[in-house]
Amino acid sequence: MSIRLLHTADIHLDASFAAGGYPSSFGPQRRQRLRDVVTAAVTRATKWPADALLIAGDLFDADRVTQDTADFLRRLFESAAPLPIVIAPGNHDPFTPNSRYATTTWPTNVHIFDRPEWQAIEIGDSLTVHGFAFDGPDISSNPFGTLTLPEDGRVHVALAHGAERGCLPEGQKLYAPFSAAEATPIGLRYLALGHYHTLKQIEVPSNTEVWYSGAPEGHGFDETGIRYWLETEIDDARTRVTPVESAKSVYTRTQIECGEFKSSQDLVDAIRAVRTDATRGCIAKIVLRGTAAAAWRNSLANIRDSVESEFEALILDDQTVAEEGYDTLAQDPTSLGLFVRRMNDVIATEFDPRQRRLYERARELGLAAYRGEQPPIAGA
Amino acid sequence: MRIDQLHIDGYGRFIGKNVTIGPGLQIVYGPNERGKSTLRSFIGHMLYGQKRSIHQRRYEDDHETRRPWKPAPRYGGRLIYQLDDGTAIEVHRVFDRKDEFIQVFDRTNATDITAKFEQYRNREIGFAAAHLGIGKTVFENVANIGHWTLANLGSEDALGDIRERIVALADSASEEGTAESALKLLNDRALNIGRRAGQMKRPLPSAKARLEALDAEWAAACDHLAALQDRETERQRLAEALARATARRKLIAVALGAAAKQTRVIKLREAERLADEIRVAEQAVFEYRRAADFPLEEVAEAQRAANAVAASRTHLTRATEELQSLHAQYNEAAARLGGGIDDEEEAVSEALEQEVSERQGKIDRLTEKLAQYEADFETARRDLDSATQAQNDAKDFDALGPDPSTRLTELASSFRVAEQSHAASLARASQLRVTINEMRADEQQHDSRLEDLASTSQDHPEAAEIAEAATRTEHALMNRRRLMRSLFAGALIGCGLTAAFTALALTLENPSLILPAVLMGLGGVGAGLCWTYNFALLARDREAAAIAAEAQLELEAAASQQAEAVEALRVAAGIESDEQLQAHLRDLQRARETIVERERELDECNRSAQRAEAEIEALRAQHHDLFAKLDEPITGNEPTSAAVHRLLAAYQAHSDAQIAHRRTQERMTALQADIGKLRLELKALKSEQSAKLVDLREALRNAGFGDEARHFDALDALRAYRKTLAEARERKVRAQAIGEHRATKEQQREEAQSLLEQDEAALQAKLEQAGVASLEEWEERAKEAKAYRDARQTSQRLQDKLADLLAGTDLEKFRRQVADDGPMSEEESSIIEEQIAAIGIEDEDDLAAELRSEHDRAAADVDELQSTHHTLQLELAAAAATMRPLNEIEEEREEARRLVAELEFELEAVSHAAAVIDEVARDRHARLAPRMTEIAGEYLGAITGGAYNEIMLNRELGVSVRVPETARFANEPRQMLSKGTVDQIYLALRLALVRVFSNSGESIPMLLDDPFANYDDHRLRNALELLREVAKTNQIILFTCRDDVAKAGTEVGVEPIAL
Repeated sequence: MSIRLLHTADIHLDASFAAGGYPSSFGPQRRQRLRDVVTAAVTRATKWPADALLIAGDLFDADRVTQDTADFLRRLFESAAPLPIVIAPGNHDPFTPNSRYATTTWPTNVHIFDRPEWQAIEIGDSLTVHGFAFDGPDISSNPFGTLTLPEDGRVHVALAHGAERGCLPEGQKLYAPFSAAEATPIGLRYLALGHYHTLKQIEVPSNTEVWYSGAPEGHGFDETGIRYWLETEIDDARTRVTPVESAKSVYTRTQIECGEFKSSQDLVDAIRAVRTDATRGCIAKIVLRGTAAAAWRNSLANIRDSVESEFEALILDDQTVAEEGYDTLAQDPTSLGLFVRRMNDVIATEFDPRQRRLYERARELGLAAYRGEQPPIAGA
Repeated sequence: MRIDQLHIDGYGRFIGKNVTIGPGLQIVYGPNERGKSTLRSFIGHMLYGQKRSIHQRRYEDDHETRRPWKPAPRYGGRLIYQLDDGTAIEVHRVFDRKDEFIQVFDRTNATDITAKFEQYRNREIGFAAAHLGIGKTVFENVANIGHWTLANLGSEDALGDIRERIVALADSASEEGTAESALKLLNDRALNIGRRAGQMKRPLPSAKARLEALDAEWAAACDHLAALQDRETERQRLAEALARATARRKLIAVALGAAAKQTRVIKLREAERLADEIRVAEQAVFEYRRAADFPLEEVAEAQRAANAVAASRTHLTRATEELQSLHAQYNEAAARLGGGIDDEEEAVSEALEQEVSERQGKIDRLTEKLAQYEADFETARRDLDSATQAQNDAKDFDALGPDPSTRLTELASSFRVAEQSHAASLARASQLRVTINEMRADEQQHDSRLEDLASTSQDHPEAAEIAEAATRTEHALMNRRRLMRSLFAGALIGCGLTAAFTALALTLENPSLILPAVLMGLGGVGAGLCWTYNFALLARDREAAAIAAEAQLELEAAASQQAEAVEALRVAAGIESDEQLQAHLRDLQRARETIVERERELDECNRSAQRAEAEIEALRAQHHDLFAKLDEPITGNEPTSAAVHRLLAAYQAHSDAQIAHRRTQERMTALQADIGKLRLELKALKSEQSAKLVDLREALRNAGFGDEARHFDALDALRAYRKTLAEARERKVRAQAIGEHRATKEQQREEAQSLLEQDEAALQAKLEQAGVASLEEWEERAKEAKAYRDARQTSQRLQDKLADLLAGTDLEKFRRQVADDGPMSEEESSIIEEQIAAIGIEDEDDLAAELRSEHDRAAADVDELQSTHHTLQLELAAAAATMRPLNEIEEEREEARRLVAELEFELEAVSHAAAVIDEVARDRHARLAPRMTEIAGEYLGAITGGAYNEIMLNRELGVSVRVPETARFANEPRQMLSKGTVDQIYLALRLALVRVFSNSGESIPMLLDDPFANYDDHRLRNALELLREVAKTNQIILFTCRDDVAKAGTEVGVEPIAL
């Protein structure tokens, strides 16, 4: 007997990318990537072939899922039949009467848990998948710790969405919290978890394999690096879990010190160097720091345009300051010197970051105006 | 700071060159291409380095052009300078990129002080900025005064050009960047970003409009989504209903099966009953067999005829009643038609209505605009009150005459000129005393032997007379001899000619020739007599000449003795030659004459000083009185100029207030005019509108619209009229429809009447055909025959019914089938009971029929629900397709919001920068103006020898100069100033600017590059004397290639440093 399972979670279809400072064209592109990764997972599960595709919640991002996405998913799952696809709705896509889970007519090979209590689905002759669904953003009753398994000789695996207490990132809210040791009754071979977006294995005293697959495609710059789904093989003797790289693109966040750059080419080279893996798309957020010569600082938009095509998305966060000797200028007995001195004084005593940035920008613009320069205007 | 020494290891043309520079004014002289600019550049680079920026090691172009031309130990050198406190600093530099090196020594304390100064990221050390208090740009552009800048000065608007350059230097230490130009650029930037909502081509209004559109789209999409959610709920309800209907259809199908089983049992019972009834019917046939031939086929016809008559009568009655009802309706509708209003024609044209509406709109807009203007007028009135109050609070500047500014400036100027004149006279007197004393001392110290020598070497006073007498005697002797020779020749010629004429007269016997002979003879005799007289005089002359010669010989002997004495004295005095001696003597003589002249000049200076002092006192008294009147007393020893500047500032503020007052008045006048115009226009429009509205109301009344008076607003009345008119037209149409219906109904009634008559005729024909008189008799006779026929038909019908019931089988087989069905199951019984309970029918046939009917209804419900559900699904899909996903809208909205925030931030930064620049520039200019006025005036007076000694800079640093010809300040003297004077004004201002900049700390050395292009000799000398004075506080290194400048420098006591 050998059971093959493909485990993924936290895809967040139709997620919004409004926050994060991305250009508006980024959202559609990324949403398509999320669809692509679901397609890839289903294709892989079909061809491997897996005995079941397990989705441990947060398949959708919110209640804004479009009909088009629901149709896409329905057709995709339909095309994968008879592959059983088992879904445990999570805190972002709870099973509610108005949810897409409830309002879409899913093909018969799709099994969706619909209550906040353990339910079992028998697949084939030997596999039983246990799971439950969030019934709202906060589950009304946490079923972790209440799972009981019959001694029926079948392979029992569990599929759930929740926050394992030992892995909770600092400052995050607990959704369906549980302790892995308490949530793994004897006889359970595999606990497929969703909620944490990073690949994680949790050791428990029993012989249950407990894994968070993480999100198969990143959603922001707090999810950098390579992403995975899990291919799990269960036989009589053991359970083998293999993380398989899933993401077609990776998020990268880095910082470039511009102080030593002698021309814009140095910056271009530094930006290009951020993309280390040519086989994957790169979504980069690069914070530019240090001093920058006015010659290229005012043409950052052009520099970005020149290298943007080499990235799936490129965000330059310009935190450079103009390459000026403000303290030296402030010593001059000219009105320019007096202007810079005044601005230096207010900047030195201003602790509100926005006001400080405002004064720094005013100083920069005033100096440029004295020199007869007109820096470019955003959106002009 | 004072630059002392330059040691150039290698820099441009200089290899191993040392230059020592003294304090004060230094003139570095050399022809072109000798390296003056290189020296200037070297000083600047030694102090501030060669980097473009303090953040990066990027070099200026000069880094390459100033490399040593020939092999040199290194590219760099040493610079030694001394600070004002006496500390000597030595700077070592190597400029080469690879071996770049800077070291700063304190020579006074013999320590390396490099580490004490800030080190920039470009590896430069900020010692020069720390010592001088100015950056590289200020040093290069302000402390360096190059000739090229002056060459660019035009003469058309020379003072304007100068002002631009001075402002640029004061504002940014550059040639062009002024606070005004910076403010203009910032203002342009603010305009380019866009402030007002209507400027859709500007990025900020455009982004805001886009954000608003996206907000609206977002709200609409949310509403749309909520509506879709409702529809989705409805769809779910339908789906549930469909499921229920489908289940019910299934249940009824089961019930129907059970019912069929039950029906077969019932059918068997019915078949058995039918078989019994057939037997009874056959017996009746046999009983009425006698009436078998009665023509019963006509009964139906007769009955139909009778029924038709009855029906026609009923129809006729109903048609008549309906017709009456329609008559009543039509009459009622006709009575309500019109309502007194003319519904055929529009009382008011659409054009009139549009015209009135547009005019009303215009009136509303003008009213709004008028309110705005009146509010502006009120604001202006308050501003005017404030300005008036400010003016009332101001000092009474009328005491200063029509032009207080000029008056005050003149006061300060005249006082300063008097003071300068007094000081100059005293200084000159002091200088003259010193000079006289020095000259006297020199004279006294002069070797007395020289005087002896002079006295000894003096010629004897009579020697000249003797020599002159000797010469005169010699000349007289020579002249006498020449005269005697001429007289002798004349006597001979006269005698000869007399003889000749006499001989000729005798020969020719011509007496007329006697007269010339006589005359010639007389001439010869006269000449002889004269010769004789001169011969006597010649002896006397010879005697005098002998005496003179003797005197001369005596004199020569005395001279020889004197020469020996002089030679002895000269040797003793160390004078080598006579020429030298004579020169010394001449110098001595000139010195004495100079002393006399200086003494006279000293007397004149003393008198001049006394006059100036008296004038100062008079002016001071005058100023005290004047300033006391203005409530601005001069305190203690306060200089009059300071009080004047104070008062001048107050007056300028007062002037500004007056200008503000005048502008506010002008604005109020303009607003008043606008308000008047608006009121007139509004009045005209209202009048026109009133007339049109009266016409409109009259038109409504004429059209019969009686409610017109109930509406205060004519446009409301018009709208009410249009509504009433529409209702009247609708009633008319309805009445017409009733009329048409009535006509139709009338025609139907006539047709019913006709049909009744036909039916009655047909019935009568049937009765006659049967030979009976009445319908009752016909019925009695037909009853028996009908019983026979009914029995036969019943029998036949029952047999058919039985056959139908058995559906092709026979009774026996059917009995076996029922036996095979067996009894009904519990579930079937339960379903049947439920259905019976639900339907309320217990009869099996009825139940089966009802169940079939219910099944059909359930099936129809399912079909309908499926159809509705499908339609709703399509609707939902279509509705979803018309809406953009919320995510897309949200992302675009967020992007637009970020852009708006960014642009608003930029606009705020621009405004802040502009406000600070405006404030600091005003402050800076206001502080610079009075000090530069004072210093530059003094400098210009010194350069021009007092021809132009007053420059005034206003708070905007506008330059004006008092023109001697008009004695007034002028800021556009244009053709009245020579190019040389313009150059001198510029130089005075540049020097003043450096002085003002120096006041903040260390004195700044100045590097001047031939700034005397258009100077005459006199002013050149004056300028150099001024520079020498200025250089006592700020070292000046003057680079020149001109001989006259070097020579003039020598004359003012500055020895040029030759390159």
